[in-house]
Amino acid sequence: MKYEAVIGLEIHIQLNSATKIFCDCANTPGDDPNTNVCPVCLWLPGALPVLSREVLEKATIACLSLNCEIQSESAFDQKVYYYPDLPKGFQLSQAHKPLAKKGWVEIQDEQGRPKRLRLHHVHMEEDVAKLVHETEGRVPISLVDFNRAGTPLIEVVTEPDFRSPHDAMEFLKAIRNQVRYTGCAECSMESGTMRCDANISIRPEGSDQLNTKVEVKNMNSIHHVGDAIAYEIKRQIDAVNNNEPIILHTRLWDPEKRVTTAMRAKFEGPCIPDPSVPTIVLDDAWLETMKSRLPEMPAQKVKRFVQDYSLTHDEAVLMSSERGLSEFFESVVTHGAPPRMTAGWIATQLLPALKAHQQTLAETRVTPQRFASLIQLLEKDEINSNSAKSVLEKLFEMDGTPEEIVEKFGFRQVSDAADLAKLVDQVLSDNASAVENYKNGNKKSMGFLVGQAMKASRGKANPKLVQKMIKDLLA
Amino acid sequence: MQFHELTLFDARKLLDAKDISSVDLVTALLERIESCDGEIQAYITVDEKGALASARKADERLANGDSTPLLGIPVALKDLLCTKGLATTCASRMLEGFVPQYDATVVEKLKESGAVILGKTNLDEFAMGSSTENSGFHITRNPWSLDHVPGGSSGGSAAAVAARLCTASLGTDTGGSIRQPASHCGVVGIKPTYGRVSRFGLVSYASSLDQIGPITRDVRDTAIMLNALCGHDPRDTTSANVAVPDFTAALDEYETQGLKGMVAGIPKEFLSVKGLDSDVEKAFYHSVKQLESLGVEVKEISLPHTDYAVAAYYVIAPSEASSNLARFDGVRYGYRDTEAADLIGMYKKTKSKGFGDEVQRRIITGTYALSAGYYDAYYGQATKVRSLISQDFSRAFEGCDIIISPVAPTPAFKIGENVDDPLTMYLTDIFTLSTNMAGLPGISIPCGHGKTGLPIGFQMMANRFDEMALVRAAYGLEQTLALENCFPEM
Ligand SMILES: [Zn+2]
Repeated sequence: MKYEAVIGLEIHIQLNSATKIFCDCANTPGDDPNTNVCPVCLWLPGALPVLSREVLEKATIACLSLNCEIQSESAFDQKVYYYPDLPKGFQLSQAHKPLAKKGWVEIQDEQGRPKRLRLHHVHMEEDVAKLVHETEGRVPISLVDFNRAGTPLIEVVTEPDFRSPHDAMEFLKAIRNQVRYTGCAECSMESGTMRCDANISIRPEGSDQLNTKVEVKNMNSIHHVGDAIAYEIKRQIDAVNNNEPIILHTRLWDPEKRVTTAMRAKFEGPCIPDPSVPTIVLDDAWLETMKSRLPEMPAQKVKRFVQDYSLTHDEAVLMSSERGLSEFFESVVTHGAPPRMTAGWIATQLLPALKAHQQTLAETRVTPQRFASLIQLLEKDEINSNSAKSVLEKLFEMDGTPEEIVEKFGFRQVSDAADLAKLVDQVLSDNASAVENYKNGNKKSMGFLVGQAMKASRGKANPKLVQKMIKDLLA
Repeated sequence: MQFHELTLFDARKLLDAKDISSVDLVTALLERIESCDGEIQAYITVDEKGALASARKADERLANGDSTPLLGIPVALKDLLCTKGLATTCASRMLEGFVPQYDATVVEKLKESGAVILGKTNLDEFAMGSSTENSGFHITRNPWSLDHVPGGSSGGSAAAVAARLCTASLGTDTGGSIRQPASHCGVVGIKPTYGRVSRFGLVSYASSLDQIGPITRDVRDTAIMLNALCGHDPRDTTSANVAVPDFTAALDEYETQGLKGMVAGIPKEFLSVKGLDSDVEKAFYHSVKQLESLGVEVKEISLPHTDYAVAAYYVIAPSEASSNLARFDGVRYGYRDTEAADLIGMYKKTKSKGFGDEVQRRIITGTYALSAGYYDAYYGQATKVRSLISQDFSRAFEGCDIIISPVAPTPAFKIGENVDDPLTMYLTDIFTLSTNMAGLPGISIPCGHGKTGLPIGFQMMANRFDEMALVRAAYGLEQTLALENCFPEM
């Protein structure tokens, strides 16, 4: 029998607000352990939570970026369970009345067709403390770092619309890009600011039943999510084929062994509306303000880049993949550089160079203005692409406009007919056999001859003119 | 008159006139605690050093011509309120040795107003009880009769005021825990409107019901204390951002305008409860007559869902308690059992040994009421009853300014009498807990004594944020009753 997988995701995203969700402590969990703590996030007796406005705003904007319906009323519940990472024995989470419902994200399926994946809801909650397991001499000890306790999260819960690891990975990329665009979260699975659990079940292909699901946790990259889902689908199909039952439980992905292993069940306590954080009531005017703060989303941007700048779809997708990148691209174009050449040079030259220099667009010396001048020099044939690459390297190293750099280092392209004629004559007389070959119909020899001319000019000759001259002379 | 007998108002006058010093007053009360509290046991902690130090500071300020309403006034705090640097136990073994790093907002406010903190008073563990017999440390005795309970859960605070072991005190009221002990000890206690006073620093029992209020010798002192305590606090989102009137102005209103035109409702469901003591009933109707003589129109009203109030309350309060008390797990502070081999064992043993029986009973009740499959039948239903009770009151207040009733069905009962019968104990809250369910203010003032000489209280309830009406009517009744024999012989 052929099986298909039914997959739903639960994604936790840490918002980048200045403070924690219910107190004024800094939302920087990586600081020295237990330095960002107060009676509220340590939940000492008598402390009360006060919901941060900034967190509510950022959560709302993130939800809007995922096309959600913001609820005019939402509320927090106390989810009771006992564990040392939870200082008050319950987690404040919107279990019954989430901030946002519905919503969707569009991806491309394996065949490149658009596919819309639905969200069930998005709710706010607080993160728990971090447990650090160490040894003191030979005694194993567990330490608790409360810096992360009370940092703000949104949890995105999807419908079980996913059928493959591909769907899940594309969805995660899309959601990461969209939420990052809003500037409300970093969304990095590697650094833990985005975490993903997958609920997976299988069923005979074409059936619409929902079978017992298994939850898989502990994937810390988008690729791990894909690998873990692929493994779990196969494990379940093997189990069913061996007449083994699928039981509701949680499994952990082991990235070393590339398998999932069963995890001990956690005690789930009761859940009660929290009386100390009042119901959150949002009015239309406030919601409109939040909508006005939502930037242009990547999907709209792709359309506009195709339309306004005649980029191909793929180029537009690439230029829109990060908000900072898209803004850099547009800024370069605004400074007068031709859009497609700009997109190509950003993709093939600038981004790899940034990586080599370990810089980001936001901090590099290669400003949109300087980069635009470089592209313009290239467009006007004042330098050739070899020299342009050298100029780009200099832009990382020193100040000054690309024009000044071209002059200073003599990168200007040689297009003067007399100069080139002398150069070409020399090359043709030095390479008689290649000339002979060309005349006998070996067109490849042309490439060799142009290459020799470029070498003789130390890369500065205008290759197009050189080729034309040789062709004319040998005709 | 001896210093410890002074009301807050009189002490204020004498302090401002420099006739006495705060150190005189505090020393007198500390001596009185020394000589009398061995029997009463109203206090868990007496902060002799701290009290004298702040009294000296208050005297310096007084000498400089400074005066704030509570400057130099010695007060006692229910040991459920966090005090910076001073042990806060909630009368529980679980919190033995816990010293908060911060003051509750009310404690901050008292200190800002110049009050001197004498110490922390006894209570039923985590405020769960009606007799102060559930304290994890010791019982407190009623100053009027040492073999009777002082009521609860703020029994220590009420007994301390009655026995004149402080000038005024703070209690907390989740279902009657200020008003019932005030009634049993013959003093004045008010539970303000939910949201009137910040709960920050109050160790939560049932967060949607808890409210802090003062316990004092008379109504005037209550008004002065309310002025110091009320107001919005950004640290407690449930504290209301509404204007706070000068509550002492309600006394002047009575002096100038009396109570003429005021309408008081008597809920017929309250007066028909089983087990209403005849002395309580007599004292109640005597006060009703006094009110009528002042021109108050008294009429019968109905609060039709009263029958369900106790049951709903004892689902909601334990439910909230079950999660509020989850944090006491032995990991970070307070008591920890060290015998258990693993984490779960440590949780179980710590909670079983650290909490008393009544606290465990309520945690288990609450957890059950919230558990999957029972949630709708218990917690869900109770929540519905709660809103029906609220509606009952709203409807009633369309036709009257205040609602009046006894505070408890009987005067204080004997120590040990109800310990093994939690249900009977729960039913004694029948007249008080509805106001908590509806978030309304309620006051208890002494209105007489039963045959045994034990005091009896009279309750008035008002609409949300209408404490002015309560203070005015209570003051009027107090002046008119002009009770003699206001304090127990000690
Ligand atoms: Zn904090």
